[in-house]
Amino acid sequence: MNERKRVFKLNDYLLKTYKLTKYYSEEKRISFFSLGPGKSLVRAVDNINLFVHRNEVLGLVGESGCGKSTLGKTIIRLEEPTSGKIFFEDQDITNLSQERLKSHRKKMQIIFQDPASSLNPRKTVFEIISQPLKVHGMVSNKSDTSDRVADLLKKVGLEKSHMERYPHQFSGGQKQRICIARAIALEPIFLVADEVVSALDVSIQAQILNLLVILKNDLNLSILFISHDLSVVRQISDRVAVMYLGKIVEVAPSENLFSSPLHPYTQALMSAIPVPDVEIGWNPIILQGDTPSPSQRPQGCFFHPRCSKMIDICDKEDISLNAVSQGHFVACHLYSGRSTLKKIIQAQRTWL
Amino acid sequence: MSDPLLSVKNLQVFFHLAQGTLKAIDGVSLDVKKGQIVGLVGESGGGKSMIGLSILRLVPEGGKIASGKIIFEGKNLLNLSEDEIRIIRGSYISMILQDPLTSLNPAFRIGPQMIDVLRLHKGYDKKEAELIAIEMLHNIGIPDPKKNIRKFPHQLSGGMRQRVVIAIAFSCSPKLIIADEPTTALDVTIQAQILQLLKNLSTEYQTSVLFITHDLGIVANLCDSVAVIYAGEIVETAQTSELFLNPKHPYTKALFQSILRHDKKQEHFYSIEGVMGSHIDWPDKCKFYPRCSEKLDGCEKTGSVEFVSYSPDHLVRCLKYE
Repeated sequence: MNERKRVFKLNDYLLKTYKLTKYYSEEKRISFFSLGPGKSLVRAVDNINLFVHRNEVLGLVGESGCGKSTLGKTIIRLEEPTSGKIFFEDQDITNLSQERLKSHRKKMQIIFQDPASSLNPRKTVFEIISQPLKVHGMVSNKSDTSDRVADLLKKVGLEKSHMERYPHQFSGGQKQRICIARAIALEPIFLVADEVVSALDVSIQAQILNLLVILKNDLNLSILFISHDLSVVRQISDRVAVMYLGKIVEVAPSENLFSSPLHPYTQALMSAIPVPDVEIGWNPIILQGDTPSPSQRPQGCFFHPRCSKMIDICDKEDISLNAVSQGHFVACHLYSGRSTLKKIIQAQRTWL
Repeated sequence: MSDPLLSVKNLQVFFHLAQGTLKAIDGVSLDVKKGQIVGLVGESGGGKSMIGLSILRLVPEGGKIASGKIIFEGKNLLNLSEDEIRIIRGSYISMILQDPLTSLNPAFRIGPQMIDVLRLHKGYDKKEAELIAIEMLHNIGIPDPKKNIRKFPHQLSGGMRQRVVIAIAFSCSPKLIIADEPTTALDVTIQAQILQLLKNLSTEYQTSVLFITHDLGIVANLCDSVAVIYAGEIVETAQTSELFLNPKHPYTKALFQSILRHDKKQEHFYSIEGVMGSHIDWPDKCKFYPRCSEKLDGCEKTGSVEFVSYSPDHLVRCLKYE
């Protein structure tokens, strides 16, 4: 527990993004009335400043379509950023050539949601896990490779005898273990875990989470843990960032965020989860309407059309993250300007 | 007490596969009273959806309802002719499925899809049916229903689509709705909207709901009573508060232990050892015992375990309580 509470030194980060942006252009349909193709921009990731400390799990939550997966992929340059910078271990990796990026790829790995579709059904587990080792020249001969793969399988709780089997011979949880083994094969220091337990049953989720925690401590990993499930994120994250329509609306140490969420969106998101407890009532803050499309975002604060606490300025001026307390940042007009502290205390009180 | 609206008695659904016989549903009994919301929880592969399908006699090809009774308003649905069951489907019992995109026909505007149902089951003419459809859309919170009724399913968001499916399900004011994971594909904030809508509609129309889900959070806050299902068998059933405060079956207990909560920080994550696996040609005995942490010596040897009433309305299927 003490370890979790340790204060991170300033600049003790492994990864940092500066105004990271990823836009996609979407071809507009040619209709009878507007001739000629137009283009609209989907702002999937917009001006994001984020950092991940060494040996830290940063949770990234948000609803579908908010850009969390795109952010995860852009950070490790599986998607090319439109603008902005990415620093990894103090080096700017935004414009590194693919050739030079290769040595960095070893250090950053990703695990996806659906283990069945991220494993090649025609290859054995041995082939799947040994491939990255061979690509990066980390093994010299066959017996060496076999030892390494066996060792990796053991680390993720599988057996050596599983090596010659094919993915379809495993259950969902076991397949996800294989994906994890492949991801840690190159001894990375940074892992993007994109909805890694979402496809699994509750009783299996716990096994994978336990494994991730053990690996994180053993291998000194930093993890960007992307999920829509706040219950899972709370358990595993040191800090949590909440994303809405391509922007981060709140970042805070996990315990802070869950005990006193400040942004009205974070509050609505948390209140919407039905708690499996009959002694606690459920009074969700019902958000009006749907999330707008990221190509037609509202003026001002993007959340204002659905926000119950909207004030005059919200539909006029955009707002970026402001620090409200140690490590707690929120992008909301309610907490900027005069008498902020009073408002924060008030918000915390009403939440409890 | 009055007779339940729906009473499933000792239902068995078998699939005869090349490898042997798979008892997808093995002796399930279940009551749904009028106006009640009954939850059916369990992990994937447990047979939850199969129960929903069996009630409407929609068991997929290869499967057969081997025995049992499904009594709905005093009639055994299993004895009805194909024509008679078609009248039950939609008018008296309707269904809401997980993915609204596959329940709606992508090639038709939502208007005709709603109107057809009303014309077929209620005999309205086209004009009347359209007016009712518009009113229904208005009731379930779709803005500008006159305009939206002319849209295709792909032009609506996931939450909106599921609202349309719910509108269709409720449009013939059925007595019972089988909702099979209706919010699993939706985001939490949209899920909250839909759950409130379902709850309100069920009160307004006095409709009973059989709510199939894997989410115990929803059960705690929506359902009046719950049945927990494991590998095609109901292992425990009780009033919701009773089940949550006083779970008895080792599987129910394990399920509760393994849920993660956003309002509590847990240091250890509990998981149930092993996997459910397939139970092809499984002999008559407890299906959970290989994974059970409280198994007794007798579990492996004893034949099928019968329901024991732990208290009135609280039934458990476990050797421990026999």
